[in-house]
Amino acid sequence: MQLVAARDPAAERELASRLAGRVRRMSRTILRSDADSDDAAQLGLLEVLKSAKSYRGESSIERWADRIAVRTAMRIARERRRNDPLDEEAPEELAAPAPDQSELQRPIADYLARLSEERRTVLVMRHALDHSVAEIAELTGVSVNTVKDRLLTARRQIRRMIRQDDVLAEARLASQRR
Amino acid sequence: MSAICERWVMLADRQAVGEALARDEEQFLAEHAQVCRHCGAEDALWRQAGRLLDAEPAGADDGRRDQALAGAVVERLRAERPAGVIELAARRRRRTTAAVVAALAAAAALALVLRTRPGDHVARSRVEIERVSGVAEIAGATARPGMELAEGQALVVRSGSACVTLSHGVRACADARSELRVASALDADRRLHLAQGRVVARLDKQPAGMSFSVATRDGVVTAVGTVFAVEVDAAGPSRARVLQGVVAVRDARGERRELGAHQSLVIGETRPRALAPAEEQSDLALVDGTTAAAAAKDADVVSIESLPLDRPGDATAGETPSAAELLRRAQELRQNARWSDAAAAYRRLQAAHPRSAEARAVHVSLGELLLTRLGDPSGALRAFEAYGGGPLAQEARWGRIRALRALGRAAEAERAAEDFVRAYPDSPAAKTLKK
Repeated sequence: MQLVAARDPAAERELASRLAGRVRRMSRTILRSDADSDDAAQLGLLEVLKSAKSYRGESSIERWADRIAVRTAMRIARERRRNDPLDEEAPEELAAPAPDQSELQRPIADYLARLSEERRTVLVMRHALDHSVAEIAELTGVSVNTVKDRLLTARRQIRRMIRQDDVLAEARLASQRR
Repeated sequence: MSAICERWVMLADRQAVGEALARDEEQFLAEHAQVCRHCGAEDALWRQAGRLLDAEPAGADDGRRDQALAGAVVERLRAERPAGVIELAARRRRRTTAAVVAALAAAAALALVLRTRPGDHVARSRVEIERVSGVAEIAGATARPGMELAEGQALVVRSGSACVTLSHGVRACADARSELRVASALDADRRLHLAQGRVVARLDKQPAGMSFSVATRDGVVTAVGTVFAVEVDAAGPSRARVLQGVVAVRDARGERRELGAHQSLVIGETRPRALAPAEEQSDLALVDGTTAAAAAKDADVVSIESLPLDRPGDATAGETPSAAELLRRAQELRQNARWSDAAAAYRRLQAAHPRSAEARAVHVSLGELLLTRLGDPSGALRAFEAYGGGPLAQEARWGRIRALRALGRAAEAERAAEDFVRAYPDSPAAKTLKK
């Protein structure tokens, strides 16, 4: 990391290669649009390289980079909402999956894609990054209660989708048997 | 949804927001998920979420996108930046020898060492001691020919010199008072890190796509199968020396120039100078193992502090786990209702990483634990008061009121409650206090 901080090109490339996939996946899970998530991934990774001096070795490089990538993605999400006020939190009623997408078990990314950025971010930070609720509050600058509320709402939304998928799958199986 | 499933959902949500469950509740969560298809599917999904960011690229396309992203970011970074680093790119690939000399000065930190992630299945070079003339050590043990240097390990040459070999005909010889660490043994990117002293490397023509580097505090010198020497002096400007062949030197401004055999160039300047015969002889003598190097080498030897590696999980990175790791352990202990151990883990985190975000955030968690589980209101009060301002201020102040009450300091608790209600009039806790 010292060499990255000292702007060594080979070290920068090595770090960028090591983290690119993770930052891209992180951005993609938080932001729904491909264009936004590509922008966020690039800006996030750029920010990681520029911030190398601030790395203190108190956590793994991946975890340190996660935080920077999350903050970048959230900033882009906020900017997008400012420019497009209609893109607010998705009401829960809109969360149900389209019937033709239903399967017995879809990948988590499919479910996450149907959440609002704020709920998705909290869910990713809690379940994928294993941050505590208090840490998420600290990192995102909202209260613990807001984090809990977003987390539980996101879980409820996803739970509803899973169960709806199950019902549809069962109905499909039953019709096939007939 | 059945009542049993409703209970499962409620407990799973409680656990998700960080609440500690009793042992029988945890047992129920695990057992019900085994027998209930709906709850089992949900449980599997949350587990899948835990692996979301660790997933390897799904295919070649993902891998290409990752590399394209990395390349675009590095290019963008360079375009934004005016000032300089060293970049050497070989242009000529001839069968012969090459020497890379890095003579260093300086203090402190140098350790690059960015390793690939565990689980990577790529070819690695064996780094083996070829020759020791004098005294050299690996991890405190005497280095002998045939011994292997693992990634992250350092060869410390106390006197004389010692040489190591790597794949594809690379030999690197370290002078007395040198410390040479294996930063990466990846075949495609073999990298030694010179913390102090001098190293001379000789390499055969390298296969396409393979590189060998010597990293120093000042930069990374990469040979890709040509013949050149580089000297990096922390006390002054870096110099590139070509013994045979041609290299391309690019400075941080993006200006690129060629350097021919028997030439030396100060990186960033435009005019090369002729390589002094003594410099060339000294470099070659060291890598060839002749005594001719002895006369010239002392001038290049400067003491430099060796650095710890920064890789997670590396034994040489230090004994203290990271803040994130300590927090994870504390959370696990808490989830297993091992309250005292969890409190100790929170305190260890705070002691080890006092300035980390994790240490700050756990003041409130520790206070709650001490107050509600361990019957230690004094400790809880200290923890809540230590938090100060921030997003958890409301929780910290609410905890302080309860701790004061538990300590029987009614008047102080009353004043704190009045302040709390004024600050957070609409909070659930304020409603409780008003009652």
